[in-house]
Amino acid sequence: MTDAVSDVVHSNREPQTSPMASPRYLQPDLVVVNLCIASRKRLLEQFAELIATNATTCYSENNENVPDSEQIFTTLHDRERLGSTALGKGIALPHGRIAGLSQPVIAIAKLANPVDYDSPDGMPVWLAVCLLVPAEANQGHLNLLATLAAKFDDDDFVREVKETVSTTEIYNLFSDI
Amino acid sequence: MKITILGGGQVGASIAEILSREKNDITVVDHNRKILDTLQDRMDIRTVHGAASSPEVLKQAGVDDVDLILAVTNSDEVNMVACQVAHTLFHTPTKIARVRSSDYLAHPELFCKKAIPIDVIISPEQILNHQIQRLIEYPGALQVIDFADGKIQLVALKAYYGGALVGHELKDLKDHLPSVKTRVAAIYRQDRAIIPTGKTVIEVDDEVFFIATHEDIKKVMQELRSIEESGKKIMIAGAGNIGFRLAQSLENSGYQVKLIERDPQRARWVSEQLKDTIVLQGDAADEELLRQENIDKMELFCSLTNEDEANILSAMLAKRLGARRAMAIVNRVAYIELIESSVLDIAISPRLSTVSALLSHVRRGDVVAAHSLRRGVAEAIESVAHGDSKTSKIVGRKLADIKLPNGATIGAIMRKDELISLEDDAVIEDGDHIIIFVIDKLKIPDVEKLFQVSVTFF
Repeated sequence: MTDAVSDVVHSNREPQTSPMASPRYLQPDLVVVNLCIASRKRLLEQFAELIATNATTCYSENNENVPDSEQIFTTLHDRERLGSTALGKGIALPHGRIAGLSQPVIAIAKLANPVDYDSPDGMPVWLAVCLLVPAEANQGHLNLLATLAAKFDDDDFVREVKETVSTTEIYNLFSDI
Repeated sequence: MKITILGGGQVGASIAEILSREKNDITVVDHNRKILDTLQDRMDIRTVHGAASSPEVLKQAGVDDVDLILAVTNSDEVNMVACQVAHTLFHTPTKIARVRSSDYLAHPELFCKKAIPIDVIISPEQILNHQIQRLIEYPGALQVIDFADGKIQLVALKAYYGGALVGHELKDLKDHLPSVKTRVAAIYRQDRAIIPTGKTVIEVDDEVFFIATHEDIKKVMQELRSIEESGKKIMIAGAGNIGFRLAQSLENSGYQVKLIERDPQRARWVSEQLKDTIVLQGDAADEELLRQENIDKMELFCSLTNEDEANILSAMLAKRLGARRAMAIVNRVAYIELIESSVLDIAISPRLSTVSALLSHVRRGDVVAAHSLRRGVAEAIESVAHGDSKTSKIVGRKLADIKLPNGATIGAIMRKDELISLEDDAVIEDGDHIIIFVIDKLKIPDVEKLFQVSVTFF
């Protein structure tokens, strides 16, 4: 959270590495569609449970402090308190740093019914992309957030995601992360 | 934010009103249907009828979706169990409860995730006790509020003849007190707020709000009114929990306290607990008793019983019989408006104090403290600035370039325990604690937005 770090996050709005070269942080089993929840709190809770149960490969092997869903939920919730992670257009990017992670984890949820998210344009959120990075995240990890945000600048891409109905298709749409 | 309030009594209703006006999604739970109906007539909220600690009722109230619950029913036990249920069954992130009984409060280890999971405990008695002690510490102040862990205070007082700054422009304050870092955050003149500038001239009877460190407050106060000696003689009416605790703290800080209690049994019990306080059994509105006990030698008379009317009348009487200042606990806001500053020196509302204490925990952003002022019309907020010039609307910017909402002023900036001079070219840094004074409550959402970091903040 130092000045220097967040500064670079911003100056690198464009993806730094070519899609082929970067490792995939999004796992197929961390994409859900038609998620039925009625609030931001439940959405963050669902992400926390999804990641805690399915993303075990992302935790460093020797670390005994594998975060549980409660830790992830608290991190995501605390971040929202400092300012909503809603981008507008009905999209949110909840994120946070988690001790015990060895590499970033990304999860995507498309909601059955949009939820209030305190967004800048007042639009309820129908798509959330959750990004967790290690506590000692490197610059590449932190740039992921700006990369994700930049993807949604493209209205055609947003439309494509909105029309998609299956988890595989969504997974493929985010093939560069 | 989605918030559930358990208990629709005075405090629950007040906080529901404030929060629903600020576009929060509020549900109030109470076992009294009449109370719920009245609330629903007055404000845009959802109500659920039932027992506040029942899992079924909480589920019905939608606690599974809320960010915050406020347990303010009349029962400590119901409040505690409700927080436990919300924690275990619904993982509610923030749980705030009112707990009155000092029996529970004496064991803070009870309130943790492993025992009774309450994040914030609001104890009205402790709040009032602290508030009254601060007012006694700074005679002449109408309100004293701690910020930055008590390192600085916001003080409200009336300007009188004799104060060196009265009749002068605010910028002269710097020449009068060159070594003191202070800022006048707001001035109320005939009940209208003035946003102060260097050219504002302080007039007699202005209600001035300023911020300074603990050590400097008295120096600034002397600029606004002639020096008052703080006498050590205090008379308290009412030996309830508040009166008893206050007497206890005051006798430990070297005050000479006389405590009047009507109930003989309570009077005897209290007299056995207190070391140096003189406990008198009698009626605080008994002119003869007050005279006998040298009311005219008292620096302060505090009436702290449960009855508004009795408190007001005995304080008025004490004042007429020569007590230097009089303070009373008054619950009804309408009464406070009637009497404060004209009849009595200070009226303290337990309800407003409790609501004010709850506020800092429901504000968005990294808010450390928020206090309701001027009977709830204005508010002072201490918030931590996060991020950098890209992710924050304030960090990395000069004070002169920050677009504050109309009616909001920066009262102080604390950086690593140091008060920063508020020059126009001072630049706000990540981690600064900023105290903002908002004269119009409707602007609070705009102030909250100012502090919010953008999406890309990690």
